[in-house]
Amino acid sequence: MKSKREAPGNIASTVVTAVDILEYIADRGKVYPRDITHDLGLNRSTVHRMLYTLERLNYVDKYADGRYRLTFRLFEIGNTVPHSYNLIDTARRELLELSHITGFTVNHGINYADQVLYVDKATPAAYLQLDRSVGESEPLHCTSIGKVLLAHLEDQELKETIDRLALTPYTPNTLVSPDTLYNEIIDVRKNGYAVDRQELAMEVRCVAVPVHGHTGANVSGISVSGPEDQLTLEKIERVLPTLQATAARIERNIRNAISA
Amino acid sequence: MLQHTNDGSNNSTPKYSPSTTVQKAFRILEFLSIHQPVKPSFIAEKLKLTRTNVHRLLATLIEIGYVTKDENRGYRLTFSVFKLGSRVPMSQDLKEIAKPLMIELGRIANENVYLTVLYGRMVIAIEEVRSHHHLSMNPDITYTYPIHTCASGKNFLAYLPEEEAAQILSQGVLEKRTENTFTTVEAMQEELKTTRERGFATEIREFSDDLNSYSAPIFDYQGKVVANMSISGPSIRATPEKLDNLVGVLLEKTRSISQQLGRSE
Repeated sequence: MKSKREAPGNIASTVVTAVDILEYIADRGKVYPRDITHDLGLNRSTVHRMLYTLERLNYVDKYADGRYRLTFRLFEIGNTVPHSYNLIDTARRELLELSHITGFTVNHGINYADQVLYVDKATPAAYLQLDRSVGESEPLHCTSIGKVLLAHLEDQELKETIDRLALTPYTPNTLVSPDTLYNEIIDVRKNGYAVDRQELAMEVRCVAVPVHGHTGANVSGISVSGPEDQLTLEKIERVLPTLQATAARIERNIRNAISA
Repeated sequence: MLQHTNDGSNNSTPKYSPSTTVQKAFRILEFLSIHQPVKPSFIAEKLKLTRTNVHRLLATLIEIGYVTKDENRGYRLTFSVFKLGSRVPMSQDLKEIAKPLMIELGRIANENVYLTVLYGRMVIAIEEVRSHHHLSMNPDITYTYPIHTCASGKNFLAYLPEEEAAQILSQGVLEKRTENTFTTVEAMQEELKTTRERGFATEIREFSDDLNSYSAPIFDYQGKVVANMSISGPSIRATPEKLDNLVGVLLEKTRSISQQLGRSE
């Protein structure tokens, strides 16, 4: 459970409380007002007043059993953020095509709060994916997009970022030493692409390249990921030119969008 | 199945008055979501708030991490709001409920099946099941559609009060995508009436000359259209005759989803 935020000086503390409640509900899915009262240490009437306010605003709704959950509203508002940075419209069509051509899953991510934040995804096919990585984050040090994004940092910033990262081992292949990771990133910078060699999960390999020129986000990464028995290292070499061509097309779309 | 009692705000904790500060803060968040990046003076003017009020609420939203200042261009939402929004279980619930039914429908129809939501004046496909035909829809077709050009858009509009639908339609030009596109508010309103009476929407070469689509609305517990399920295919194959034959199954699926979202009929 995250601690309550401090509300210094000129800050509207009721807004902080309302947001704490929203995020608490987001963590739990469906909650009773008494759980909020208890876990956030708020008094009962505050919780009810905030829930009433949020319900009127259409951010939460209430089940017959008395539990509250988030509505679609936050999803709609949140979705405007990657759109506002031109991350979606300039890239989605290309991601779909890349996924279609390669038969693999394609991800699109940015560096946000020292993690890869996935803003879009395309899957090759017929059935809906069970996982839903859009809006979720993964570590920088063991994903191909993460390495590409690290490689974009200035050297000093790169070193500082690596120092901050936890470098958690996920598989025997995860790079957990700052020096090894640094050297890997230097290679990525030189090569212009990054490979995740089963470093986050033994079942998966990925390859990523950077996309430059977004407004605000500066750089993003796109990757092709697949099961290790299909996306072999040789296959990665064959996929790479297609991936690079896709990145070039997205960069062209961005230039067009900006000049439009 | 979960049932809602909330059919309006009247019977939910009426003894509390809403917090006006929180209401203003969320009005600002919503305003930013549409206009970002935006200057405080513009927010104050459009939302009829005092400048002091706007600055205090922006400072609060920045402190929370939901808003950031974008150099000289103004304020905008951060990716924290995107992350928070992505955790809304309803979207997952909706997809989870819809997915098996979409697959069933896709198998029967052997055409692409989409789950769509409305965002502003755009219809967005959030899930799809592809047909197994070789001539399936081109993957580079865009996944967002102007509201007046697609079957799903008509359903979103058809169940709104007429003035509200007209207002949405009047917010911008109704781009003529094909000869069949409805390009006037009047013609659209006639079409919306038909759509409402029929219980499903059709799109015959209106978004693209190569594309036909039928769509059925998914209602939430309040009777609001929250999503649509549609069958789409190349117009030479997914003819109105073929789609007419599939619409019964389509409606069966959307009714089932609406029920699972708490709609009682």
